[in-house]
Amino acid sequence: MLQDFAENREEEHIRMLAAMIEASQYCDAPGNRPELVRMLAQPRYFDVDQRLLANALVGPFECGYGRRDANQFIIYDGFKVGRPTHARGKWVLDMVRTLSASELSPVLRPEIIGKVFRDDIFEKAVAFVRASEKKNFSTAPPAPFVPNGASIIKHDERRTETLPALASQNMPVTCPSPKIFSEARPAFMNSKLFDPATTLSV
Amino acid sequence: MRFAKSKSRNGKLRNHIELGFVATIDCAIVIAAQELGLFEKYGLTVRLSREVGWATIREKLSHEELDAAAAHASMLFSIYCGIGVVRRSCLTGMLLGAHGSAITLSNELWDLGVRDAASLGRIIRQHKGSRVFVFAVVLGLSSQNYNLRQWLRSGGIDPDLDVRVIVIPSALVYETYQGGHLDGYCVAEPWNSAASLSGNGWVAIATSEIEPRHPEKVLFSAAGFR
Repeated sequence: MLQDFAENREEEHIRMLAAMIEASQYCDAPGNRPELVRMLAQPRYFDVDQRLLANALVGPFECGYGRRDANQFIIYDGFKVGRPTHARGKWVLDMVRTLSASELSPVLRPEIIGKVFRDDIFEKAVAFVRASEKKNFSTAPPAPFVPNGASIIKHDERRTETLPALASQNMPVTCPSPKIFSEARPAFMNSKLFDPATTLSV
Repeated sequence: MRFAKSKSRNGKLRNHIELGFVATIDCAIVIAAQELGLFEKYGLTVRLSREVGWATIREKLSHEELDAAAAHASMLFSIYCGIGVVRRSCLTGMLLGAHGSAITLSNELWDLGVRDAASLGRIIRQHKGSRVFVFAVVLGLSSQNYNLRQWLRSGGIDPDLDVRVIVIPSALVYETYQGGHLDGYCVAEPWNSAASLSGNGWVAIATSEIEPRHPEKVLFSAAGFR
C-alpha cells in the first residue's frame, strides 16, 4: 500500500495547510521581512549573508546598475495568490505543455487540473484557520524568533539580545551539503563585511 | 537508509510529516511556519528536509521519501502523469506565492552593450556562428525556463536555436556562473542578488515584470494511488 498523505491523513493535511496560510500572511507583511530574512539566512536553511536575502525581501532591489522598488518582487499571502483555482492550474498546464515535447500533449489532459489543483481543500484549510481563531486555538503567542548564529545586519541592532530558544530549533533538519555551502563559498557569502566599493563595478 | 524506519514501504504511516524544500525565497513559507512554531500550534510534527535542487525534490516525492514539498507547480502534472519520473498521485491545496525569480546577465554582456532583451538579441546575432551563449534554469518544466524563453523571444531570440539553455540545481547556479560557464541565468532569489551585490553580474528583469502574479511554487502533497 502506498502512503496516502493528503487522503489518509486528511486531518493532518488540513492542519498543515492552516499553518501555511498563517505563515504566508506573516511572510507577506513588509514589517516582518527583516525578521524573515534572519530566519532564512540561518545555516540550516540558506546559510548565506543576510544582505543577499534582504535585497529582494526588504529592498530596494540592487540590480547591479541601480536600485528598483522590490515591493512586488514576491507575493506570499495565501489569500492573494495561494488559492489553487482552475485558472491558475490552467496557466501551469499550458506552461507545461509549451515546455514539453508535443507527443506528451495527449497525456497532459485538461481534466487533470481539477484533480491536482484543489480549491476545495484550500477552503477547508481557511475554515480551519477561522475556527482556530475563534476558539483561540493556542493561548500561547508564537515564540519569538532567535537568530541562530546568523550575522546581524549592522543597521539593525535591536535583535542582538538573547532570546529564549524555540522548541522547534531542536527539530532535526536534514541538510545535504552541496559545495556552495561549504569550502567553495565565495568571500562575499562568507559573512564577511560588505564592501560597497566592490559593487556597482558596471 | 535514513528514512527507512518511517517509510510507508513497511506498511506504517510516518508519525511526522517529511517536508522538502530548496533554499530559494519562494520556499520561505514552509521555513517561516516551522520557525514561528505554527506547525506545533496546529498539533503537527514536521521535519524539514533541505534539498540541493528540484530534480532531487521530484525524485524524493515520487519515491515517497517526502510526504510533501515546496515544489514547482509543474510537478503536479509531471508526477501525476509520470513524465520522466515514477507516477504518483498528488495534489496541491495551496500555492506558496507568486513570482520571486529574476534574470541575471554577465558583466561581459553589459560591456558589449546589452541592456534589455532587444539589445541581447542584437549581440547574439552579431556573434552567430562564432559563439553560443549559455543560460541556466533550475528545472526543465519550470516557470524560470518559461519566463526566460518568453523574455528571450521578446528580444527576437529563439531559445531553441539561438542560445543554449541548460538545467542546474538552484543552489549551484551561482557557483557555476562564477566559474565562467554561463552568460546568464533565471533563478529564484537570493541567487540573482549574489551576482548584483557582489558586482559579478546584473539583474536584467524580475519575473514579476515578465508575467505579473504568475503561479510559482506550490505546496505539493502526495495523495497516493487507490
